[in-house]
Amino acid sequence: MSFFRNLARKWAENYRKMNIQMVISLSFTLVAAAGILIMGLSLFWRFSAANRQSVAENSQRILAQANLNLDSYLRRMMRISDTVYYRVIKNTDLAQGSLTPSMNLLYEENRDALVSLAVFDSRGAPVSSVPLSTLKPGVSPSGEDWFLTATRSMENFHFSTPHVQNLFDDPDRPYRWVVSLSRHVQLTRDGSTQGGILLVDMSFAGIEQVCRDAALGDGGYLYLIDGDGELIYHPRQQLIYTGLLEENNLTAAGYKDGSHMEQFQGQPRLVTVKTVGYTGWKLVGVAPERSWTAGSLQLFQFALPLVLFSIFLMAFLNFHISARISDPIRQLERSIKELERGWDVDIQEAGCYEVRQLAHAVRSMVSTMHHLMDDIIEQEGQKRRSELEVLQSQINPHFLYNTLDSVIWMTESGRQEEAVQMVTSLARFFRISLSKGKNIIPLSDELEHGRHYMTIQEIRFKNTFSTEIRSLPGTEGLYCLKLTLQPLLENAIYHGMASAEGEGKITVTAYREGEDLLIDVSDNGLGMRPEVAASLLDPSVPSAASGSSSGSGIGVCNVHQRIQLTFGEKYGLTLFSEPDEGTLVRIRLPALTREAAQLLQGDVL
Amino acid sequence: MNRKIKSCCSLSPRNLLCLLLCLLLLTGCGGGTTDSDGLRIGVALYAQEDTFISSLSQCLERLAQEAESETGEKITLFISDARGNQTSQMDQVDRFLNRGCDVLCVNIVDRTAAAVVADKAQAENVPLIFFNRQPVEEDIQRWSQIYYVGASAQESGALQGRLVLEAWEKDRERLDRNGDGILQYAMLEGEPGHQDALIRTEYSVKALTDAGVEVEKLVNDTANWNRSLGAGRMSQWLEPYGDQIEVLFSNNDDMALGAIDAMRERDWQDWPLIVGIDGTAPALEAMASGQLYATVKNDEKGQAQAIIDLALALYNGEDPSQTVDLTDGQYVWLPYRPVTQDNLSQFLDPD
Amino acid sequence: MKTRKNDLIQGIILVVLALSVLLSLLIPQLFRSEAPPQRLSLSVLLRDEDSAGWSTARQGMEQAADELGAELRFLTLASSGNSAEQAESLRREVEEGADALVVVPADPLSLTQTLDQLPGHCPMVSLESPVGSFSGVAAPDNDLLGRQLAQALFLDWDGGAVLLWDSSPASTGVSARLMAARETLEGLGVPTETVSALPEENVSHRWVMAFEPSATRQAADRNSRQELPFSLYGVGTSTAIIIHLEKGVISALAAWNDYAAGYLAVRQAVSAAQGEKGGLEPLPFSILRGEDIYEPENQKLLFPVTS
Repeated sequence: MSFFRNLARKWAENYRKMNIQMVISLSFTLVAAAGILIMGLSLFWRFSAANRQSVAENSQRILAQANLNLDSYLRRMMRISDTVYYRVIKNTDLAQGSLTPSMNLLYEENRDALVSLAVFDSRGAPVSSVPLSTLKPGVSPSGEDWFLTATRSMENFHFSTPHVQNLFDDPDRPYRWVVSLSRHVQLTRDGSTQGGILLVDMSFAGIEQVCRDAALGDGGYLYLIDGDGELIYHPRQQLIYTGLLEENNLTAAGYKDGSHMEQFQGQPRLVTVKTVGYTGWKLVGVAPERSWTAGSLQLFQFALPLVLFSIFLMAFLNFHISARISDPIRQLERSIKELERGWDVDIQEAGCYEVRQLAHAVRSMVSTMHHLMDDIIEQEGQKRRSELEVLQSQINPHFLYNTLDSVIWMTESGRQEEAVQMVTSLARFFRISLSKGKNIIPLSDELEHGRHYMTIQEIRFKNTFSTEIRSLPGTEGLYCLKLTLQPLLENAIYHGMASAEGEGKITVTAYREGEDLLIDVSDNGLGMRPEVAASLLDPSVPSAASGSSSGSGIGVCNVHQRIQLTFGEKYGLTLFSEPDEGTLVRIRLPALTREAAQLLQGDVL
Repeated sequence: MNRKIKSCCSLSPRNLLCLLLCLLLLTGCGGGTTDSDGLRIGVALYAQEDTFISSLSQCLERLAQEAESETGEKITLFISDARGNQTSQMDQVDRFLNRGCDVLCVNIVDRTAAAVVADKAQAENVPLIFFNRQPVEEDIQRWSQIYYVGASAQESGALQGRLVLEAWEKDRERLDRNGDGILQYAMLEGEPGHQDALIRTEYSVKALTDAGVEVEKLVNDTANWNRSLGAGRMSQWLEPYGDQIEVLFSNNDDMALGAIDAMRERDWQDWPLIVGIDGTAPALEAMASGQLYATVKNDEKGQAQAIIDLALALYNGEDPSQTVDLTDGQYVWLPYRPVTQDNLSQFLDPD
Repeated sequence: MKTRKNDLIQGIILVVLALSVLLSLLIPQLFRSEAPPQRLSLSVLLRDEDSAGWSTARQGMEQAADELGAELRFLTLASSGNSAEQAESLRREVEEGADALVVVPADPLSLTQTLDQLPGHCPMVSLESPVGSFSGVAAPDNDLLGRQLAQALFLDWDGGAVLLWDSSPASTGVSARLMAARETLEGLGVPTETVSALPEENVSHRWVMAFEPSATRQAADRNSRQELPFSLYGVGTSTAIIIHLEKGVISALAAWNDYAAGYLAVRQAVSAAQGEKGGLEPLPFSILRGEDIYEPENQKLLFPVTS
């Protein structure tokens, strides 16, 4: 049992591994083969049945014909007997006339079928006989079967079984097999009637002729039995009489008219029985098995190669057709494999409708993929560039020179404390700028960075403006993107404070709004016209602020881009400006906790 | 890959079909067996119980054996008995043809069926020799390879008549019982409708009338070539005609012997002159004992010899006229010989 | 590659199917060529001049030959009982390629010698007398037959010597019957006299036994012609003999079914030619008297049906 289960499992695996062409072709072939076999078998079985039927019918037909022939033969004999009786015996008074001439005439006419005609009186003495008139010495007809049965029942004809005639002395043909037809007759002698027996001896050859002519074909034969089953005629009668052959005649006597299957000596046979009228004899037709299986065998021999050939043809065609169906699919599969390996491959659109659709879809998918990949590459490129800029800005030389310059003249002019402050702020400024290479730093650091920058700038600009940098509660422990504040401060200084005369104020407020961290940088400077504001954030416009010599060199636009690249489009800068009113730049960032910041750092940057 | 298979496959249906066709052709050739098994002769007798026919068939067997030892060619005889039934004989002829007989010898039961047999033989290209029972001339002329071996019934009748004529002329007083100068005779005829019976009946009497002898037929009847029937007829005639019958003609010996039986049984005293035809052994014995006057010998040995010689010639592709005496290209007539007391001893010697 | 493997599988399946088509076409051919057996050629050698006495046996032989697809050649001798001629015939038949032989041996002993000298092994079945150690004999138990016939005689015997006609001294079967009869009779106290030919003139003995059909027939013919008939006990079933039996010329007859003998002999010869082993049982026989012949069973025995 487990063996079969293993086998089944192995087959299932194989089936799963099989490619589509095999699946299609094998399953079609198997289905077709099964169909052909079923059809073939059922036709064959039907044919066999029909064949047996036709053999049975044929037997019956032949038997009917033989019956007719035998019937007419026996009737002829009975008519002869009648003629002798009614036309000869009844009209002749034996005392005056003789029966012999008329009997002679009748005998001559029926010479081929008759052996003799004889009339005996009730004691068995011969009255008249043709063609031979003298009985053998020592013969006593009154003891013979035909005599006794005729005497017993006076109104009927009696047919005997074949026997050797023991009446006349015929040196030419001494022992002849005859079938005796005997009847009781009324003999007239001298006006008085006596009983007698009329014997018509039919030559056995006559009956033999009738039965022998019927051919049942291919081993079949016909035989004749009497009511009790005794053989009258059989094609191999001599052998049966000799005891060398057996026949199932006694059983056949019990069959009703019609066809029966029987087993005799191990062979199945079809036996057809027909009763011959009046005599009670039965014609038995025997058709051995091979008479109906021979045709079946031939058909089988013809059908088997035909079936196998058609299966072969089916398989052949199926292989071709399935190949044609599955080749485009395989082609597609191969192309995709190559695609996986990264080779640039041209996908053919071929095959049937679904396959074509698939190919088309794959094609567009591939092209989309290419575009996406290009986009990614582009984005990556941009990021690299801005990172590069940031990197670059982290050690912006111009700001350093200027600040150092300031420190030099401050030191020269004796303003040591301011110089110290400036250098300290510078150092801290650059330290936070670097922040050990990290891009996400704590908000406090960024604000600190801004304070240091403003300190430097305030000193440099001789306190023309003031700065306030504060963070509201709720922003503790949050992180933000590095170098976002300072450029805005720079921008505010150079755009906003240009015309302020000591009244300039830059306010930086960091506060949390929901999940966002907002840093507002507002100044009360000149403001700018909306289009200028817009252009600041537009990366395509070469901004006056980018690459400026006074600060980090990163423009507002850069900050906005960086924020968006890092966090998404939802975030970034928003400018609110009114001419002469002031400008508010709002930085919107996600509120990053430390963990979030670390994640982001690992991931993106 | 598939393309390669495709190209292979596109050839192989063609190859396959060729193979199949070749096989089918071969199967057709399965049958023909040639047997060069010597000369095979199929002999279909009409009734072996006929004395003449049975001695003829025995002669055939003996002569075939002798011919075999003389020529060194293997000769096989297949003999079948139709028992007077034409249908059986047809079956037997069919069987011989199926067995591959080289020559067919047919003793036709029913003359009207000779054409069918001739056609069968011609279809198989097997030479056909009819013997003893003669078909009509048209049937023999259907094909050049049909022959007839027999004895002329006319000759037998004429010879029989001549024997009686000689007796009449030699011993008229004794023969002519009633002294009226007219020969009263009774005639036992063979089978009704039998050509030989009709001819013998006619020519035996004709031999007498042509010689100017007046004849009177007292009674005649058919006795089917049969001894006991002959006896039956004779015993029927003995009452009414017994003394008056001067000569009893019988179409064959068996019937004559039957008549002799009838007379012997009745212890008849005044025997007529009895003549038969055939010259069978019992007839010769009856002649030796003086009961039968004379007979005409039907040369069964000669006929058998002629049949064997003709068959051999036909089988070897020789011209048959070199081996046997052909009349009209297709007939072999063996002469009858009269048998009288003078030359009886010749025939009594076993040959 | 998958495709190559696939193509291989496909190719294999196609080849297998094509082969099966061819096979299914060829196999019946093979069987058919095996099936029709060569028609066997059997030679039947008789020991008489004519085959008339064996006509019933011949019918049986021909029936068997018909059924088994064999062909028979009947050969008689130019002179009855000439064993040299029979030996010569036999040699010739074997050389000509007879597949099997059915022989009625004229002289079984010399025939055995002849056969031993011949190359190869041609199976032979004999009728009447056994020949050497070959395939079998289709005959009644000759010994038993002789004894029973003698006993039948003894039942009727009322004195006088019995004449035993040794008609074929060379035929061992016939002799066996004679010797068994002689033994039985002498054992019962009946005087016997053995002669090799019947006396020219009348047979003076009142009891005569013959042991083969032709002798029985001749003796019966003689008996019917004699003034003083003797009681004849013989062997055989030919028509002439039965007529004599019916008329009482023969008192009792040992009869066996000649048809069966011929049939069985040919059947045995054919199966021996086809290489099968096996022998023949002795045929059953019965002792018949004139009044018995019309018994239904005896009718079947004595009178062959036309078939």
